[in-house]
Amino acid sequence: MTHIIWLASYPKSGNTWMRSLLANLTAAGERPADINMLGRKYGTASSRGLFEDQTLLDSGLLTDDEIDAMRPDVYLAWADQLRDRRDDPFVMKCHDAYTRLPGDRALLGNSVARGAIVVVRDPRDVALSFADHRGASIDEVIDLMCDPSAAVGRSVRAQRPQLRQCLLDWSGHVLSWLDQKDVPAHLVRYEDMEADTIAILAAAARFAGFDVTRDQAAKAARLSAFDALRNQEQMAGFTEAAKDRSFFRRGHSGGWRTALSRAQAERIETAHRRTMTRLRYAI
Amino acid sequence: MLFYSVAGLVLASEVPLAGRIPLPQAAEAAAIVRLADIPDPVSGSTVTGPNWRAGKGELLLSIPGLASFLLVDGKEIRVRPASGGRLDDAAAFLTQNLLGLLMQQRGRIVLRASSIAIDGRAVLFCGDPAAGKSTVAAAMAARGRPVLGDDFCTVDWGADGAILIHGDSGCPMLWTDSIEALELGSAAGAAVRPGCFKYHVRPPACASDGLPLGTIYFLGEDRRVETHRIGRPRGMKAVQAIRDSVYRPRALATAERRLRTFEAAARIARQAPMFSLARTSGFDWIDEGLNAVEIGWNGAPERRGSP
Repeated sequence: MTHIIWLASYPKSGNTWMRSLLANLTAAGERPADINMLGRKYGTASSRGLFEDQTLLDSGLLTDDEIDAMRPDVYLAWADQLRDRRDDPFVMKCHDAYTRLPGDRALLGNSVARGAIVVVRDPRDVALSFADHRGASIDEVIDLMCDPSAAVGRSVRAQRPQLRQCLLDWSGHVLSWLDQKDVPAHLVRYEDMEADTIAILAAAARFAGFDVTRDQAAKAARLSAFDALRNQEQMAGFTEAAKDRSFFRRGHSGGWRTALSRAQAERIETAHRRTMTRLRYAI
Repeated sequence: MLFYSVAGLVLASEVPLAGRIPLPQAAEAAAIVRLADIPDPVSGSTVTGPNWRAGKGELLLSIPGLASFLLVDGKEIRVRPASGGRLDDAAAFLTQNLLGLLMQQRGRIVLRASSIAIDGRAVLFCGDPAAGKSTVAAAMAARGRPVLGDDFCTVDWGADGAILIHGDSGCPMLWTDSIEALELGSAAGAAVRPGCFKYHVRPPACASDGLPLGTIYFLGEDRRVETHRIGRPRGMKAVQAIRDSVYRPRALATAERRLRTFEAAARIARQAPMFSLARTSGFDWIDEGLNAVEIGWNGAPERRGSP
């Protein structure tokens, strides 16, 4: 049995919050898990270091497509090593869409994971948060969210710390995860996490294979509350934040209602109506 | 046959190795690179990876669609381009990856680090991929510090117990953004691999090999710092930092080799002055950050930049 659990989401959809919640399930006392250690406690599918450790190759000599062709075998090898080392689930953050390579092989290695927690968020709020994170305009980010060939981390003029991650457009990303048949998917709506953090966390943790009590989930929810995460960032910074910008910005849903123009909201709603409806986002 | 100096050894090669220091005709080489067929599978594999298998004295590594390589006893690299593959592609991986693995197969301690010389001593910059190791080496070279190596370095102990560093004897290899930021366009040569955006950059001076170790810096991007910050890992953190810097540790084929490497890491941590060098993203930190490194060389490193 593999130990990998994909924690999959489009960027700025609650992935870090869920990682923090899961990490705090095993927090000692009232000391929260360090947000800057989440990457060490868990993994990242697009880690360049993981790829190089496993393949023995300098990834800077390979094209993004050549790297992608090797990624399924990297995760299979990593899953084998995890199986020899540990019993508990190993959560791996993943912003890649669930795509297939030529030959129909999944980029992420078909059944290499025991499941995927798929976190989704209202795309109108995603646009707002993603624009702030990228230091881009909201219109530029809406363009990205409507682009079926969208990707982040391309190494063209410079080497990026992460491997290229193909996002597809927002709907394509979400549906790629929810409709794939390789691994069981557990859907989490960001808005539901806000409304009942304890219940949503407990359900996701049990899906992942963590043995969790309601008291543990309640403590994790408290230690990972938005204000607690923002306090950590203000005290010690957050390595995943963009330069000179807060990662934990607002944290509550519906900000788009005042921040997006009507035209911007309508662009998103028109492009993603079917997926938004399926996910119960009112239009 | 061509001859090169690599990490203090003479290497003979049927394949041109761009960016390596060529030697005149040598009477005897410690290792040879040859184009040859490769038997499959490797006998008695003890460790495997997604694209490689290692057994006693053998490491077979394949890059799908490009080439396969067989390393034998630390003395030979056999190269076989894939059907339809280009020798230039294979040569790029030979130059950068396979030579480090060859040194490791010879039983040497190999660190993932660039290295330069200051006042006759080696200063190492270890770090993860994209940490900026090559950029720092090239920027130091532009300040007149001879380059010892770019991708890896090997660690030996002299008869007196002092640590000796052999660089990889190669040119720094920089991406376009680094070349532009450091204004090194005139020193940039050919792309490391046809079609990629990484180039050999000829340094003004190279150091002679086998220098005593001066200082080790662990370089990493940290967006929380304003420009840069120098710290000092101690105790187990120092040992762990060295262990994390071992070149391709998964390729250490036997438990005995892994144990010996990690014992060496602990020994280095005990003997060497070591500092962390956290730097912000981009290149604005370089002037001030490398000033601090040079100041550190002449005295106690200062903490600069703010968290």
